[in-house]
Amino acid sequence: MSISNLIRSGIVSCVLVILSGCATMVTKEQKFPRMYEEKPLTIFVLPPINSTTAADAKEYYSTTITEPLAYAGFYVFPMEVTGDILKSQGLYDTELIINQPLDKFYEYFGADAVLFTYIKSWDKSYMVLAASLTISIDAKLKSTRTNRVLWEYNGTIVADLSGQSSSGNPIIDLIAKAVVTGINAATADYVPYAQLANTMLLQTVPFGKYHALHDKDRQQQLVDQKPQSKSGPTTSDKSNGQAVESDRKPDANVDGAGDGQAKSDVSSEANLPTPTASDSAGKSIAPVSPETKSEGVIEAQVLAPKPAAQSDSSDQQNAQTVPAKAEPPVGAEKQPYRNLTPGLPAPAKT
Amino acid sequence: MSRFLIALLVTTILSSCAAPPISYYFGNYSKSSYRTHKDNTPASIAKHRETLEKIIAESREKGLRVPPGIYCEYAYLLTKAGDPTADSYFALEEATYPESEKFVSFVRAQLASPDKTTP
Repeated sequence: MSISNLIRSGIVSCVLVILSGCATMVTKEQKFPRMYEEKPLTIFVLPPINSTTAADAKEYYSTTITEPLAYAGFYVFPMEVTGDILKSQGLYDTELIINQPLDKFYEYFGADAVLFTYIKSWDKSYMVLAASLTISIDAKLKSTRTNRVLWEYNGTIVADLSGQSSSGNPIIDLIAKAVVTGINAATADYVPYAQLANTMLLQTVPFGKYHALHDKDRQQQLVDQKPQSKSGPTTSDKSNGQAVESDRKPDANVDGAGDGQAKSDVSSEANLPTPTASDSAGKSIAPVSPETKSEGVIEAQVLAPKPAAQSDSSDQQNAQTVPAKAEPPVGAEKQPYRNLTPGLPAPAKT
Repeated sequence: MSRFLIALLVTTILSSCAAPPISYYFGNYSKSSYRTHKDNTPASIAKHRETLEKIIAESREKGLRVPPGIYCEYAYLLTKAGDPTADSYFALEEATYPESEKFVSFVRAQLASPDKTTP
């Protein structure tokens, strides 16, 4: 378990390193000065607020938050116990507490801070030949004594669950890909991705007392998700938030494939205005290369730029911000009508 | 398969990164916790208790500090199951994490006299 956590934190730290060239970076001290002022130690985690239609998202997610918070150096009250306490007080919904003063949490439990989490996305999208899983969590840490927001951040994971196949025969490839995609989509477990999203989130929090770098991490850099000085908060939000995913892909591919294919994927990602649809299709679609195996997993958002890159140049701007959201449908709609199978190279040109 | 490959390659890259500064053993905690939420049967709760026992045992064996809240949660489940040894685990939680004293006394009071009003 600790090894997979290691791996995940490794992915995240590598992502953050790569990100430094692509998004506004800011230090922990600059972004979250109040954390260093107040130095909360004990955290009361409230049940998540679910803004999605997935009914079990809350239960799944709330079991994945304790571990990363503990690893970040904080004392976390056990959620089994706090859940019961809240119910016995009649507080079944965290929504009731959002705008209330939090001093009671300090008075009764000795909690220095309260963690609010909002599940923004928790869905799988399935389009026969392409499937993806998206988890997006907003987290906010509020002080119980001053009611100020000490820390907030968003963690978004988009995982490509599409199957791959390389039998050489395009028809068989197509069928196999559809089958594998279906299996991947049906069986993909949300929990590891939720854990990954949490790990991403909690890399940015100023570490608590039990962490070796407590109070020594002031100069650690993170992506500024809401830069004050930028033009539009929404656009910069998207570009920063999704820069996470769009950069995870080259990182993961460099790790995973480590050959020419990875490089061409990186280049097709970086030089989004690739003029020829077939060109980028040939590069970014794995089936062509015999080394590919069924990917399916933590390659966040590999899916996204491909359909976008295949379509017109007008989409290339969107392609960069594309990763987390409606990518496959957007790309599919905008493709020329002849190419009805997103994800495969245009037949005539290969 | 490719997941394994990726994990392997990331691990080799990681070897240049620092090891995690805190060491906890959490075992199967999040899975069995989810089971108790989902099923809410005495069987799943008993399984979760076993998971907590394992966490405590492994941490002692490896010389690690038991993760925050584990002793407290274990004591809470023991009390609910009617086991009298729970109190020693509450005391262990307070000893390991002094900042938890207020919370642990609240939980003890709550278990002793459960009522809807705040104390």
